[in-house]
Formats: sequence, structure tokens, C-alpha cells
Amino acid sequence: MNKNRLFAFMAILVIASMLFACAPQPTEAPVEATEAPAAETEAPAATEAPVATEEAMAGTYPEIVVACWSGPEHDNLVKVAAEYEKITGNKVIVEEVAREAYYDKLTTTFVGGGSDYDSAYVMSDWIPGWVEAEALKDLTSFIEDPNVVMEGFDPAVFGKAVDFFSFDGKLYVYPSEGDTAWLWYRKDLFEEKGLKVPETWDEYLEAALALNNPPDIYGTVIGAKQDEAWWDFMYYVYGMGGDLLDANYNPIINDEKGVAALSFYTDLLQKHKVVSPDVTTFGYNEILTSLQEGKAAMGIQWMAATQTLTDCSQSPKVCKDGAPLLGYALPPGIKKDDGSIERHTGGSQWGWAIPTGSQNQEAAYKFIEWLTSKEGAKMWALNGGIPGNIDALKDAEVVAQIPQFAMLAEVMPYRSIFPALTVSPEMLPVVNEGIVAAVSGLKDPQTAADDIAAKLVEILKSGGYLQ
Amino acid sequence: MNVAKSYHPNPIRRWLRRLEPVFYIGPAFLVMGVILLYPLGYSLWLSFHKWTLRTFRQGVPWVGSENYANLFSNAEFLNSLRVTFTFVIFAVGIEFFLGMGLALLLNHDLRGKGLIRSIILLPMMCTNVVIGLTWRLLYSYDFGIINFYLREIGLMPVEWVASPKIALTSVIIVDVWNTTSFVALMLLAGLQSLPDEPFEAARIDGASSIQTFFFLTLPLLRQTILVALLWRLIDTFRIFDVVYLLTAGGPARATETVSIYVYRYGFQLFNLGFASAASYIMILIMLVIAAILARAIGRLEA
Repeated sequence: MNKNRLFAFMAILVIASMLFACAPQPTEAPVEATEAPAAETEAPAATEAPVATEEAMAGTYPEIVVACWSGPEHDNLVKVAAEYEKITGNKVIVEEVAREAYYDKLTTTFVGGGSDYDSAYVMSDWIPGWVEAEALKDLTSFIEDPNVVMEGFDPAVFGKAVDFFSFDGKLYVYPSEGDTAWLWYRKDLFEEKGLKVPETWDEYLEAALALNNPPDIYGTVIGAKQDEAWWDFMYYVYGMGGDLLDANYNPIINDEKGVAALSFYTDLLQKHKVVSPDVTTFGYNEILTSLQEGKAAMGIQWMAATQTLTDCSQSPKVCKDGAPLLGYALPPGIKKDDGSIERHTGGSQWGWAIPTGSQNQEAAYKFIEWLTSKEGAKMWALNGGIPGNIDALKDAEVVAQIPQFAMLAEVMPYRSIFPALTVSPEMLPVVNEGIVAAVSGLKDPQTAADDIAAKLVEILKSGGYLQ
Repeated sequence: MNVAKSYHPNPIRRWLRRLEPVFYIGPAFLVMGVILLYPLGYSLWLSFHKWTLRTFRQGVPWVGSENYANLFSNAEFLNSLRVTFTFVIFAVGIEFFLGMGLALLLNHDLRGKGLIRSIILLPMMCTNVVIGLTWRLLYSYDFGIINFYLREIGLMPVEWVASPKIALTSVIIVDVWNTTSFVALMLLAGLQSLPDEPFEAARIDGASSIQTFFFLTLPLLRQTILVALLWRLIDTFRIFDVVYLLTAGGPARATETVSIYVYRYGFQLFNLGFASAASYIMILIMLVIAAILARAIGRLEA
């Protein structure tokens, strides 16, 4: 009898626990799960914004979770979210996601209607596909609601960046981090060799050859990692006057300029040997490490790395007497007949979006509205970020403290970004693969560029961009 | 079960008693159904449909065997099959020979045998993420300790994971390092369970140690060998995490196994129909390999 009772009790327990496990989880669940590691480690995988030291204000909105990829943007967001919490009392949990898996993770969550994140840091070329999959909440519905929108809010404050994020008259993302890259160079080594900062690609190669002394230091550094190659190569192809597509979506990466750029990029490794032999494993982080460790005399690196590369506590090997040895300048351009330099460059456009699966959309909207307002964007800038808000970008205090914004303003008119099309996520791996094949010597640059172009035509046709 | 003992005059209790086994195995079946059968069935359904991120809101049309047919004309898929088979054959082959050597060594009375056994088991205790990240650092051309020592002894450093010609070998080395001890452990268990009599008889008959190994140890150990091979073949065929962390399938798809190919098409390109078809091809190949080995094991048992 006792056995029977025990059996019945165990059976009920098992069934009950399974039912509880299968029941929908409240939205707090991911928050709880993400808070634990933050308490255990100094470098949190998911970081709760530090609680304000002043008296905590009761928030109007529920707690939200914001996703951001690893790197300076995440570190910045943690600081700025803490300020938001201090000002409004609304709690923000920042969840850090590895760069390599960021797009995959967001797409899976957003398209699946998951409520893990209330907002996320997103890139322009991901947006059309997500909009088509109805995975993003349009921000226009909030902007048009006087009970929600901030008084006097005008999306015009983001300038042309809103064009990347508007579809069918609706805005889906508030722009932030419209960035580019600089040519980083070792001031001490250039001075020692009597070299001037390269203005053209020929000068760039000359400097790389002159400064190359492997394995102690390489003349320059490039990136050709499988999933990131385009983001490093694009500065060369745009800088040499090439492009990926023409205005009618026809691939032109295999035209004379495109092939010349890919040959130049490939030759840095295969012919001139002025870069580390393992650049096919180099992306943003590896290029950063190379410059930080003094393994490269120069290299083109994203402006998001500025704070890391110029801070002697973070990059002590490239500092002397407390001053950074790395300087930055505009990437090289093409010398025209009159002696002037014609410049084109690349970049990326990021922003803040709200997934349709979020259970706290209004709370998320209020956060990203504040984050991209003049107040929030200024804070974002002063902590090392690049504001999308033009008022913040022009703010006297910001301009005085961050001189690179003057250069960014100069670059913006001729900056190109990866095409934001519904087929962009399919195009990017094809482009990356071609670049890696050329750099690693598996294909000659012309063949690699032709292969990229042929595959892009197929993809663009499937997306209805080409007949 | 004693029927007379389990008889109860109350019919409800009798009925409950008859249902007792269902309560024991029911939860397991339910869990298996939810976490195994449903995804398997859904992915099979997907493999016959067109599901892409761009089009799924407009519908998921039936495409019949188109996804399967396209796979075999897809150069990348064929490349991933080639990479996977190369990886499996070399990794499992090397692991088997090294594992057998280690097992034979540890089967003898060696001084410090316990310590040696513990040391060789260490790689097995590491998680794959730790292994992938650690070896990525070890393999680094400029900062890695392997190249550092190669330079120290006057040798040329190697582009371990940067060269398409070497990257697959580097991945195989990591897998061999990681799982040889598992093979050794299984074979050692098999060696220790062998009966002493045949070996004593062979010794009396004057058989050499090589003859004993080839004509006695190996035939007697055949069943254990097949189980170890079956386990390792399945495990190696579906490898993902270590390769993804080391090379992400690069450079230039030189280390892209079928698992990474499926991941790329499924969760980077979000062509779930195509990725599902590829994963079913992978399952079929594994089933054929497993069936052949399982049949061989069955014959031996019989």
C-alpha cells in the first residue's frame, strides 16, 4: 500500500514538473538567467546596468533586455543604460552576444517571435529581410502616438541615415553609429623612417614595404576572416573607386577597379608579404590585437576602436611616456591629375530596433528614443560611441572632446555601405568567400571576382532586383 | 512478476496496477516525443518545402525532392561531404591506432600507471568550447606557443589554421588530441575483460607477442573495437563546435564539414528547407555506417 502511494506521489510529481517546464515562461526569466553570471564574473556575458548610486527613482516602465554585440558598443551601452536608469528609474539589462553569432542569434529570436530581447543593436543590411519577415516593430506607430513620443521629436535629426531604415513610409530603426575606419599608423616608426602618412595606395604600399620587418612587425595588417572579410576589404575597393553593385543592382565587383582592389589586397600577403601569414583568420578583434601588440606598423581599422587604441591603459605596448604611438588619418585615396586626392570609403550604419516579439515594446521604445535623443546620444558619444543624432554630433562639448568627429563629418558625403536589400544576408557570405579565396591564393583575383559577380547575379535575380 | 501476488480485489486498483508500466515509461516517451520526434518530423517536412527568411511569410510551398536534387549539384555541399569524410577517416584512423597503443601500454604493469591514465584522460574532461578556444590560441601564427617553440628551435612557423592546405590537418590534430584517450579507455576495458586461458595456452605453445596480438588479442577484442569505432564514427561525423570555434569552416571552406554547412544554410542564410534536406542526407549516411557496424557487432555476438 505504501509503495502504491509512493508511486502515485512520484507520478504526480513527474507529470506536474513536466507541465510546469512546458508552460510559457514569464518575460522575467531571461533577465534572471542573465543576471547570475554578471554577479559572478568581472567580464559579464550579460550585464546589468550598474545601479545608480543616488536614490533610485521608481520607473514608469517595466524592465527591458537590450542585446548588443561584444566590443566597445556593448561597454558603452552598459554605461549609458546606467545613466538612463538613474534619470528615469526604468531598468535596462544589457545582454552581450559574441560577434560571430550575433546576426544568427538575433534573426533566430526575432523571426521566431521570441521575447528574449526588447531591443537590439542592429546593422542596416539586416533590416530589409527582417522587415519582410515581419520581425520588427515599426517605430512610426510610436512616433505618431502623442501619448508615447517625446515632445518635439523629429526624425529629421538623424539626417539621411533614416533612409537606410525606412520601408514603405515606416521607420524601423533609430540610427546610431554611422561609422567608418581610419588608417592607423605608428607615428614613431614613420618618423624614424622619414615616411609621410600615405595619401595614395601606392604610398601605402611603399610605407608597408619600408616598415615590414617580420616576424617582429609587419608593414600593415588586413583582415580576410571567413565571416568578416568584406568589412576590411571594402575600404580598399571603395577607396580605389570600385563598388559592389551599380545603381541598377548589377554586380561590378569584377570590373577593372574591383579586380585591381582585390589584386592589391591579395598581393599584400601573397606577393609583398607585408602582412601576417594568418590574415585569413583576422577580423576586427585580430586586427585590433595586432595594432595593440605593436605587430603592425599600420592598418585600416574601425573608428569604434579609437578609444581602445589611444588609451594607454588598454594598449600599453603602443604607448610611450603616457602618450599613444598610434595616430590616425583618412584612408588613402586616388591621386588626380591636378595633384588632389579623390577619396571614397566604406562604413556601416547601425541603430536600435524593437522586435515584434518583445513584450515591452513601449518601454523599449522610450529607451531607444532617449538613447538617440540629443541627451542620450551626447552621453553615447562622450563614452566612446558615434551618435546618429546630428545635434549631438555637432555639440560643442562633443566636438571639443572627440576630434575624430570632424573627420567623420568630412567622410560622410563619400562614404558607401553594404547594400541594404532583402537579399543582403545571402550576398555577404558570397562576397566574403570570394575575398578569402583570393587572399588565401586558392583563386586568382579576377576569377574570384568573376565568381562573386556570377553568384550575386543569381541571388539578385531571386530577390527580384535583376531580371 | 508474480501474478497471484499482484491481484487486488478492487477493480480500479487492479486497472491502475496494470497501467503501472505506462507511468514508468510514459514520461520518457513523452519527453522523447517532444524533443526528438517532433523536430525530426518537422525538419523532414521542411526538407520537402521551400522555407527562406525572405519568402516564408508569403507561404511555404511544397517543392518535392527539389532540395535534395539541388544538394547533389551544389559544389559547396559536395565539398563539405569530402571534408567530412576526409576528417572522419583520418581522425578516427589515427585515434584508433594511437588508442590501441595506449591501451596496450596501460594494460601492462607500469610504474605510475594510475598517473599516466589520469593524464591521458585530461583532454576528455575539457569542454569542446574550451578546447576550440585554447587551440585557436595555440595555433596563432604570431602569438601561439607552438610557433614560438618552432621558431626557438630554428624551424619555420606554420600557418596552422590560416592556410587552406593545412587547416584540416590542424583540426584533425585537435580531435585526435581530444578523443584518443576515449578510444584508449574503451579498448583498455576490452583488454582487461579478455580471458587469461587462451593467452596462457598461446604462451605455452611458444607464440610470439606479435603472433599473440594479431591472432588472439585482436580477434577477441573485435567486438570492443567495433563499438569504439561506431561511437567515434558517429561522433566525428557530426562534429561542429570544435571546428566552428577553430576555423568556422574556413579558410575558403577548407574545413567546412556537413554540420557547419547545415548551420550556415540554416542559421546564417535561413534557407531552412535546403538545410533540412542536407541534414537528412547526413543522417542517412550516418545510419548506413551505423547499420553496417551494428550488424557486424550483432554477428559477433551471435
